[in-house]
Parts: sequence; C-alpha cells; structure tokens
Amino acid sequence: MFSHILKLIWNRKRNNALMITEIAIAFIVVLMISVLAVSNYRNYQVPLGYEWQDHWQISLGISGGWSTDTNRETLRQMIAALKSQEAIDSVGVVKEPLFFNSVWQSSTRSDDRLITFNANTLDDEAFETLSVNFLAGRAFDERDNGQGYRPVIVNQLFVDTYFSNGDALDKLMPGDNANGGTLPRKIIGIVEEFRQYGELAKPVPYVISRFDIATGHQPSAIVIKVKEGTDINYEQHLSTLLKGIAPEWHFSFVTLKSQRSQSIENELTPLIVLSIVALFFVIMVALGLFGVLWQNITRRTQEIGLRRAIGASAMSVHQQIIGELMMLAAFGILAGLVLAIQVPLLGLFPELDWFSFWVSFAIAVAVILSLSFVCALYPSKMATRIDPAYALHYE
Amino acid sequence: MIKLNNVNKTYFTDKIETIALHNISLEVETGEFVSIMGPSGCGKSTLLNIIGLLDKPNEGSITLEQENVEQYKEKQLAKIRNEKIGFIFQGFHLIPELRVIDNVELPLLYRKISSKKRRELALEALEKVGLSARSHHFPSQLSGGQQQRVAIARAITGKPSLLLADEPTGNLDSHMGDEIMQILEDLNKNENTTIIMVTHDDDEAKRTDRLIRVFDGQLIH
Repeated sequence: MFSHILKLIWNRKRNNALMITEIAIAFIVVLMISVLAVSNYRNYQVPLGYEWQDHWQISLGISGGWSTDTNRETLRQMIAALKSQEAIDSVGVVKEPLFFNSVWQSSTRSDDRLITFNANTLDDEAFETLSVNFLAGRAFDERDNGQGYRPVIVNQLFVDTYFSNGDALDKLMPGDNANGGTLPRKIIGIVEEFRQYGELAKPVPYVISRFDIATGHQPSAIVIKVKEGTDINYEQHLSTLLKGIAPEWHFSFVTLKSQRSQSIENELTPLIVLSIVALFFVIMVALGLFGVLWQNITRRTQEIGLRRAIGASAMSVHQQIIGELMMLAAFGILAGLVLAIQVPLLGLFPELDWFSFWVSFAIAVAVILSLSFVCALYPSKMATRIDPAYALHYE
Repeated sequence: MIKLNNVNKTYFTDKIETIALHNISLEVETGEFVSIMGPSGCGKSTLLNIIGLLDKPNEGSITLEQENVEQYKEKQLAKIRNEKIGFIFQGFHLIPELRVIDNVELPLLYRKISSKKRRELALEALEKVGLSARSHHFPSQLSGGQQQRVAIARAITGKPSLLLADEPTGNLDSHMGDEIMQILEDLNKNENTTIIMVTHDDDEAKRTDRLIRVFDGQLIH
C-alpha cells in the first residue's frame, strides 16, 4: 500500500504541489519557533554561575569623567559607606552590569590561534558578593598585587573551548595593550559559569579581569548583597547616603531579581509574539489542508466507490486517505528541511547548534504530522461513508 | 453459485418511497453466462449491486457459493467482493493517474500478497485481454475498447468465480463491443467464470446462456 500511495502522490504531483508547499512553509515556521524555544530551554538549563536573590545593582552615572583622582576616591568612599551599612552583607564593583545586554567582546592570539571571548571586570569583593561558584583556583586577592602577570578568571566553557586537555589553571595568555599593558594574562581561577546576560542568553567563553579602582576603567555598577528581607524602601536610604558622598553622580537602583525577570521577559516576548503569529498561520494552513482534502474526497468519489467495490474495507479507505496526507506531509517536511538545513550548514544563525536543530526538527515533524493526521481524520471518515453503489454511478 | 430468495429493495426519501426490486428470486449456476435486460430504471443495476454485495436488500436472502451473506458485516462483505467477485462497469472507472498495470493490480492491494506476485497476476490478466504490451501506458493513452479491456483485466486479476458486468459495451462502438463480448465469452468458456451481465443490446443477450428480463423491479418469466 505504501508504494501505491507513493505512486498516487507522485502521479498527482501537480495537484499536490500547492499542498506540499503549504506544508513545507508551515514546517519551516514551526521549526523556527521550535529552534528558538529549544535554544532558550537549553540555555536555561545551564547554571547562571552566581546568585541574584538578595542582590541589588546600583548603576553609576559618574559626573566629570572617570579619569580624575577625585572620582576614584569618591567611589572608594561610597564602597566603604555601603560596607558599613548593617543591612548590607558585601559590596562588589562590576564594569559590565548583570542581566543587561551590554556586551564587551575581546580577543587575543595565542600560538597562532585566535581566542575570542566576552569579557568583564570585577573587583576582588564581587565574587564573594555574588557567591560565584569556583571549580578551580581562586578569586582575585592581594597575592595578585605587583605580579608580572595580569590575573584573569575564566569560565569552564572557555577552558573547554580553548584548552583541549582541560588544563588551564595557571596558564598564561598574551596580554593586550588596551588593558594592563603588555603583561601576560594568567588564569588564576575557573568558575562554573558567569552568565552576565542572563539564563536565556547563549553561554559564551568568558574572561573576567581584575578591577582596580586606582587604574581600572570606568565601572558601571556596584552590586550589593543585602540581608534577607530587606525591602525596596531601603533604596531611599541608600540613595540619600550615596548622594551625600557624590552629589553630582546619578544612581539608579534595581534588584537583580527584577532585572532578571526583565531580562527573561525581553528574551521571551519576541518568541511569544512569533508563536502567536505562527499559531494563526498554522491554523490557516490546517484549515487549507482540511478544505483541499475535503474537495479531493468529493472529486474522488468514483475512485473511492471503485475501491470499495473491488474489496477495500471502510478501514482501508480511512487508512489510505490518512496515509496520503501523511505522505504529502512527509514530502512537505522534506522540502522544508532542504531549505531549513541551510541555516546551520551556512552558519546563518550563530546561536543555533546542531543538537538544538535536530531536537527542533523532531518537534516540528511531530507537530506537522499530528496536524496532518487531525486534518485528515474527518475527510477520511467522510470517505468511508461513500456508498459504492451510488459512487459508481456518480457523475 | 448465487441464489436470491424473495429479495425486496425499497429506497426511502423524505416524501417518496421507491420500490426498486420486488420479490426477486433468482438462481445462477456456476459457469453460467446470464444477461439481464429491461428498460431504464427498472432495477437492473440495483439487482446487480445486490448480487455484487454493494447494496443490501430490505428483505430476502442472498447465498453466494453456499454462504448466506445476509448477516455479514461490512468487512466480511468487502473480503468476499475482493476474492470472489469481479466488477466491470460501463464507464470503465480506471484511475487516470495510475498506469495500466497499477490499475489492474488494484484489487490485489487489498490481499496479503507480495508485490512480485501482484505484478505476475496483473500481467497474466493483461495477457488474457491482449494488452500486456500496454501495461505501462496511462488510461488516457488508450482507446475506449482498450480501457474496457483493462477494466476486465482488473476484474479478473484476482481470479474471481463471479463476474458482474454493468453494460460493459455501453460506451463502445459495435466493433469494440464485439471484442469485449468475445473476451467475456472466452472467460466464461475457458475459465468457467460465472458472468452476469446487464445489457441493452439484444444481440449481446442472445450470445449468453440465459436472459433474465426485469420490469418495474420484478422478474418477467
């Protein structure tokens, strides 16, 4: 029966072309949504690498330029003032804020190999403040003062990507002139992760340099860990405190909890909108398939009557009609796959890896086949009700 | 071979009740070639549909090769149609998108036999109707007579014991009609196939073993 259905589909290819095209487009749309959903889900499964539950982020609007010694001293005073607060457990400084899409990409060349990574700068206290999970080595501390290297801390993905033997601790990498002169970078610690952009962003190789108030670049935020139960009303107190130290600076307070929610919402909103649009499109395709199939059954009344006359049971007819649409769906999926696979093959969407592609492919196949099955159910049932005695005299 | 006992068939619509067959009792022996004649609308096709198990009578019994099929379920009837009965229609009813050989194989699709065996049986049937050379043509590439020969090949490919032909020459000219009659006669004589044929043509009816006349849903003796 399989080869018979294949012959019928092939010999009716002109009539079926529109249906196959519709299915192929629907498949690509479903695949696209699946890829986004699967990628997000897989990203979400990767540990964040730090804690956010009782943390606040204070964005700094530094007035008069960071290079002045006055501003550097002001920041020192602010950190000291914050540390003295009873409700604050610890204070850290970051150059690139957390849960923001503020990207600092960098690269270096080592043994003729280009090493690219995303970067950030944290002070010594920030690791404790954020409870960063170390797999090996340590955070920055006084032992790194005055050394002939620039200490860096990398994530495990950086190690996996650039150190095939997994042995990265204490290894040196070339420095760069922009940060710390020509001193080589030395990996003094390896953290599980440090996903600055949040849980839904794709994990990337990440390198954290040491922030030093005296020589470092302008920081963008102070991160504080507050005691459990501290509510947002405490913001007013802190704002007054900081404004007293730096009246010209601007501060904005946000809890990492709400910033994280915002970051997730920012990532998911386009996906939800796309999914709704795709859902409507798929429903339209389903209605189209249903209509065309219904029309086909009417057009093929004589053929179905003949099949019944020569021995096809109602169940055989039912299965054949469903089988035909499933095979059309398979052709549509194949056509869609030929187009869709170009995306990972040509690397058009860097976020997409092969595993996510094939998982999404399986989901899209399941959705399209289920949809086709549902669309075929009623018309095929209708076909079984065709009375052969009537159909054979039907004009 | 087949026996109808007091068969009645009435069609009901909202307002009208139409008696198609009234108290039909009929017996056809194995190997007989029987023709059925009668004016349009007299119930010939209904009778053929009931004999072919395509339609069920309101009353009466049908026995096919000693099997009373009256209480058979749809699936059992389909199996009997597939294995014991071959149908030939005035309008050929070939599937235009399938090649001749695939059209002939059609009844065998509903049996559990290998594709190789199906092909062998279909070619054998095409050989019998003299069309094996056209097995890979599409129906539209054949004349009306050739299409009807393909339809006969399809009807006999499953080696049925009973052939039902509903005006098989109705759409053909006399020369082609004669060819079809010759094939049916050969099948009847050489294969001992029982044939029941509806026709409007007296000459064709005379070539059969027995003529049954139907008028207003009743047999005329």
